[in-house]
Amino acid sequence: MTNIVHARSLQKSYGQFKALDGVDLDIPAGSICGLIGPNGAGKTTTLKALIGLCDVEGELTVAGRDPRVARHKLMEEVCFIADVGILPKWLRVSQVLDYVEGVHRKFDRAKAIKLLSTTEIPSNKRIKELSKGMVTQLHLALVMSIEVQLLVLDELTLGLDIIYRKEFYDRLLNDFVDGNRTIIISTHQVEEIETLLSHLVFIKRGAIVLDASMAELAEIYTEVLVTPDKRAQADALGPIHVRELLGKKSYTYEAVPKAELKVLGELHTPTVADLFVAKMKDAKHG
Amino acid sequence: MDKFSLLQYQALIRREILEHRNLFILAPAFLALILFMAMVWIANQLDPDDLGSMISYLAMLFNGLSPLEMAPIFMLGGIPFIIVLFSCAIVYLLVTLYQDRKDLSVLFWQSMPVSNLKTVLTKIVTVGAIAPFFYMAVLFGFYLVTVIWLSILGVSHDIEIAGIGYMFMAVVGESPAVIYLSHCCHSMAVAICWLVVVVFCICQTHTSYVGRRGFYHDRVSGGFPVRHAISGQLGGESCEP
Repeated sequence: MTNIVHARSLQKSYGQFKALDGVDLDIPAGSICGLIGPNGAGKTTTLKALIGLCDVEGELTVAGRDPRVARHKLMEEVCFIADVGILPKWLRVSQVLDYVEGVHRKFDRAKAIKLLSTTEIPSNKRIKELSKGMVTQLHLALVMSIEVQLLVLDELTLGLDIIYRKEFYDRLLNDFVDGNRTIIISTHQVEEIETLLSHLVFIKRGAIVLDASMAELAEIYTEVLVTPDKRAQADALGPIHVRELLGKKSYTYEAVPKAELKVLGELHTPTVADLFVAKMKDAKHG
Repeated sequence: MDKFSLLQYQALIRREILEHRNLFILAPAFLALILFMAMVWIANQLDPDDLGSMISYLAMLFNGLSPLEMAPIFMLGGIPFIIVLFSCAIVYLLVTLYQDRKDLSVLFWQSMPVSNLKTVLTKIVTVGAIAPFFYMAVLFGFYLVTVIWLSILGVSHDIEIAGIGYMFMAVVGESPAVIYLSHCCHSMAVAICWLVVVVFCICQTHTSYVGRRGFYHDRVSGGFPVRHAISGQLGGESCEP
């Protein structure tokens, strides 16, 4: 599979602060990729770099183009929705449609209107009169109606209630995903998107600490519930993370053969949330 | 450049007008309203005989003047409009890039396939050619209403209004072009100053960063730090096939 995003040693500083410190990233086309990291880890900066909204140093190719050279060309293939309502507040809903229709050759207005008709968004209202959930729905309807290869969502569901969030992800899966199109979702709420993802990237302090497909993940990482008598043996195998669990201890291993771990207890694949905690701690110690 | 690329300007310009209709449409309309009300008020204050002689003097003045000779008179009447257009053009150019960054809508505008060069050109065209058009339309309407009002006054004062007839012809025949061009000169001058002085600070739009160094700095440089002054975009633009 080809990679829609290819990045090598991306660097970005805001004054003294290094937002990106050597980011290497390969995201295969057609995947649903979660970019997960704690606050301030560089998620938004990475995403902005991908779509040419922020100048970075390093090697970067998105959908076959360098975003820093011709952002407007890239934007015919990429859509972006940010965490904060970025639709201009003074525009009316119908005027937004007019604008996108006027500037984006891949925009299908009929589809947008059809998508909007399933919501309660009135077309004559101004954006500032809509609720936050409605603005997100509107923006989503817009990008769903554009035939793009890559959709970039930055902390999108922040501030939406659970009903909107559920509906949002359902719609995303049903309307956008078709095997060819790629979605990159950044978030720090891991549990919510775990089931959607096919590819996982962890970022911490401006560096990538994990970049793997979900299938690879199950092979590399193993979680074992270890009874107290086998702890010494478990420690010897070099767990990346240990947590207390109702008298037992749960050990997470990276790249240790499953055959060796079998003797310790029952094996299973760690959840993304557990792995996230493990990796973040791991990076702190390392 | 293909057809769609040119058609994009239509949507871009429409956006500018919608966003700044206060400056482009309401401001001249308000000015015209004030001027007309002032004229009516003055006419009411005057002695009817004085008013009558003033109108007949105006009619005499215009009687037999060729449209070309009337042009300076129309341009004179356009001075308040040119002053307002000039001020609005400056205000528009100072806020137009800054506003987008302040409310973060720049992320939306930039997520559309529109190059930065095109955005900047749109702003120049809007202020240099489209805004003068609206001012011209309003001023033309203002002249038309004024001439009609004068002829009504003339008739009611039993004055020979042939000169006003000439005036009417001149307004309809010549004034739109004259007014438009005289307005364009001024707003285009502002736009070109803007382009020359600040576009090199402004074009660097690879960031949503909003400078907060002070009122004037933020607006003049579009909210960008000056060290980003050299534009990667203008260079990138020329790389295109």
